[in-house]
Amino acid sequence: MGLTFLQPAFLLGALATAVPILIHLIYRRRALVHRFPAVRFLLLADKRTARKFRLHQWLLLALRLLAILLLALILARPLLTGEDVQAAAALPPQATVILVDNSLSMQYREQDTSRLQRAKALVGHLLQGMRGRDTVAVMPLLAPSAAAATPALLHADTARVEKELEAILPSHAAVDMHDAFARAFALLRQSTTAQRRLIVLSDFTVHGWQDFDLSQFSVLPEQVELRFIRLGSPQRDANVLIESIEFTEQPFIEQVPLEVKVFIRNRSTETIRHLRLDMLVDQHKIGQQLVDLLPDAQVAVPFRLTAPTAGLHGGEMRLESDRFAEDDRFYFAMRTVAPARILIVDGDPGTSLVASEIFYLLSALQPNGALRQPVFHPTPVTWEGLAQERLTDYQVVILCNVEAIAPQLRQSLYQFVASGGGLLFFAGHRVDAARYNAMFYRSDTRLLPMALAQPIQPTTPSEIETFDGGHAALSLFADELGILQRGLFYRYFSLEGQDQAPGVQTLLTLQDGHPLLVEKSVGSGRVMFFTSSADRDWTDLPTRTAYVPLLHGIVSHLANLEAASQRPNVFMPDPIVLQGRPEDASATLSLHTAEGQQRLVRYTADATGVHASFADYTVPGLYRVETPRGPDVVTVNATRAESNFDKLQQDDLQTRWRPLHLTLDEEESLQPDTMASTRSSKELASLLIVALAGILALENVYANRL
Amino acid sequence: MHTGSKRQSYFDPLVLAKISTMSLRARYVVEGVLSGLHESPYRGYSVEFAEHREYTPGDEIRRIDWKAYGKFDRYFIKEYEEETNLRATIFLDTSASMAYGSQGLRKFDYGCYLAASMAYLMLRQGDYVGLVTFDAQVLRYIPPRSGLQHLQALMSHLEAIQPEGETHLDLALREIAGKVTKRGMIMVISDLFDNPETVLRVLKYFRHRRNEVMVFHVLDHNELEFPFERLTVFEDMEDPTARVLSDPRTIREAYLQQIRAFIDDYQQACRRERIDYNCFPTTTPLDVALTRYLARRQ
Repeated sequence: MGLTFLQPAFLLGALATAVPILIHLIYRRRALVHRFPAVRFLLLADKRTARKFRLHQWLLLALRLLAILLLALILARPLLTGEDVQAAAALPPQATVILVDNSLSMQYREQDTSRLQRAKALVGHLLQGMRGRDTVAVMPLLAPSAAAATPALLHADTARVEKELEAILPSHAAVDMHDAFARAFALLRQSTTAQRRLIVLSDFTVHGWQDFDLSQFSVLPEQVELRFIRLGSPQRDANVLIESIEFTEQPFIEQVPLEVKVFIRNRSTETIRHLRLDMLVDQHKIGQQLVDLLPDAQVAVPFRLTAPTAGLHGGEMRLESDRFAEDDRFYFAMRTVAPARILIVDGDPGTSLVASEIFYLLSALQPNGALRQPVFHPTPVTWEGLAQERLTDYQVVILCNVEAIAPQLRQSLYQFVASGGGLLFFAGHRVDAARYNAMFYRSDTRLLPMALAQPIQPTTPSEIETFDGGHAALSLFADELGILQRGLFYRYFSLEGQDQAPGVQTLLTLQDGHPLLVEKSVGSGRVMFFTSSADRDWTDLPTRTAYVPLLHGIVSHLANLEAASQRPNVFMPDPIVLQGRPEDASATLSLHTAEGQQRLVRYTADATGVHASFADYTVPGLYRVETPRGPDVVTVNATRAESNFDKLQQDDLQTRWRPLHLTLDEEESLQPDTMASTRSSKELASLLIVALAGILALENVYANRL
Repeated sequence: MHTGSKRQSYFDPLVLAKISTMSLRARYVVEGVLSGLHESPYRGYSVEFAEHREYTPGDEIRRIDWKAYGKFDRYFIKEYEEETNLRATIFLDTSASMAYGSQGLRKFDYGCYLAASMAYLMLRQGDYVGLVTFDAQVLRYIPPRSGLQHLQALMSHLEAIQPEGETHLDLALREIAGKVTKRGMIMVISDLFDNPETVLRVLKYFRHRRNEVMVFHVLDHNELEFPFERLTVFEDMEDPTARVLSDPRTIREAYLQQIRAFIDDYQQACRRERIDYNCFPTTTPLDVALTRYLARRQ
């Protein structure tokens, strides 16, 4: 057995034993002098008591000196070491790098503590076994951003190491095992000591290890002892999570019912019953479901809600928390709009509504009984009454077979579109190509996407051949081309220079190659031209199934109802990317994080377009942005990659670390008093504190008795 | 009463008022007949002329001083010393140890007040009172006389002296013993910080000579209780070389044992010799101590 001290400098405190002696000498010199007549009795008394008194005084002094010595010893932290410790003390210095897994899976809780907390406590025990000449560095597996990181160094300052340990926080960053071990190896290579050790504390879930192999490293430090410590069970941990959500009913028009499906997965071998799932919108709980889950099964839980009033709305799905709470919440956001106001101009009113040009169109945009709340508010007007209408009250203007429009009105129409409004032309017998070209193509109010040529009346009615399935207006038909192809077109306008029309997009094309529907942006708005009629004069499309959804798609697109949608979502650590327009290049947007902080982000332009990117965030939640075009919301959700708690076993790990040999210790097999090292040593401070308390109590009693 | 370092009167009106109604009788028959309060067949007849007083009807004709009549043409009676009256001698210790006082009153002053009060009482009774002041030796011996004029003489001496020097009570007693020929009362007022054996031997001598001996053991509160707390160097008042550095808290118990044994020894020895021993702490008001004492005697 041997004795050593962890803080030997405090042994100098033993010099304080001179203090009681000095106090006694000073006290003695300051004794009062008193002339007293009965000194003879004092002399007699002194003879009787002096010897006994002096003995007591010496004992008292000895107790006080012993108390001071004990205090100095306690502060010096004596350590009683076993033979193996002494043998270890004779060993050369050791450099140790400790990697602490701070990925999200380490937030799994057992006994009210997370695995990361327990890992840090274990590191604390490991540090107790450090000798004065050993060096150590503690690093997180997932390093903080380059701006926040301070370089790790091997050093012997235990207090500094403990601060570094304290600074390790859970991270949502992507797991990069190669980078983590590259940093560790770099540190170990810098050390000149012969003994090197790498300790890794992790739960060893499969995520991040899939692509790891030691052969990826060209240089390895020599003679490295590998010790891996697993936190938690080697078996898969049970976990239930919200994987994603999907809005199945769109658009997001206020007061219109919405349906959303929440996809929940049970990653365990147990059946789960009556798991509570709550839906909140704008922090109000609007729905709850109790869910049953079979082992390793996924369920889609439907919720119906009514779209709130026009604006931006944040929401949250909350699953009843389990041991891993990070994937039990799913944030979402949506923008809702008011129903679009559509002005429908009837160029050929007829004697009744049924006979009018706009009958089918009006019916399609205002279907009876299909929805409780309308998506559109169509307002019919004759071409004569158009001048009385205030175009700014509408999102879309539809000109159905209108023969002509006065110049002043054309100007208003042009301003309306350039300011963001939508314009849809339907052809008909009143539309003259030359006149239209003069009004709307070869003029300063150029609204037509292309110039009109002469109408075509094929001998055999034409059908829709192709369509742009990626266009927002036709997204409903992405998998349903057959429905569109059932329409017959007897008469339609051909368009000039369709191959050389810049900025013009053809959405529908007939069998003979003539475009049926074209689009062009004008200013902030859009214009579409349907080369056939809106009614049954030139086509039977109004009687076809595709008519209503086609018109809904076109009008929604022109009314920019796409903005009414679920807002973008990212999973950490992916960056938030916001697309901008060409004119936004070098502009800035203001971003308010879920933690309440504000950041300014600049738009940049590259080959893919103009966008603003932000990745410097640490918590999931709603992130509100102020873009040049107004406010928006982006939701950030925790990565689901860490939700899989399948574990790597020792064989697997050993295979990846071949040819190096590693030891894998399970947390449940470790005890704190063995963690200091494999060494048998015992700190004596606690025993000495008890002894000191006893001596002080004895001194107090003895001094009072005297 | 207060500690006097300058000339002061040792007549305390309070004390005198309280004892004026009391008397001090000798407990034992002294020579002859008790006088003052005591009846004497020898009243007015003595070989020693004392004074004249004017004739009043009822006086004996044979006591008329005809010479004085011839001179003054008025009748006067001669008064003589009454040898059979009580003769008391007060031995007052004036050594340096008597200068100690902790409660604002020195033992010496307390002793002087006691001596003055006793002298007043006895002289008022018509007794004879003498005074011996001593330290290492007799400083002054005033033979016993009667009368208020003698009281003034006693007071003057008390007021003039200061306590100093060592204590040798036995030497003082021995020196005066030869002068005390008649039986009477011996009052010793002292702290008795002397060799008890030698003191008691002389006191016993006086007892054997049929004197009534009264010892007034005057002690200070600090001597009796030793209330000191701090580490102190105690220096003897009569022998500066005698010094003790001590923590009073550690030595108190033993000291108190010693002083109590000292007092007990005197008490028991005096009781054995039928000496009237009284401990008079200076913290006890003299009027209270004296009236208690006199009442007990009565």
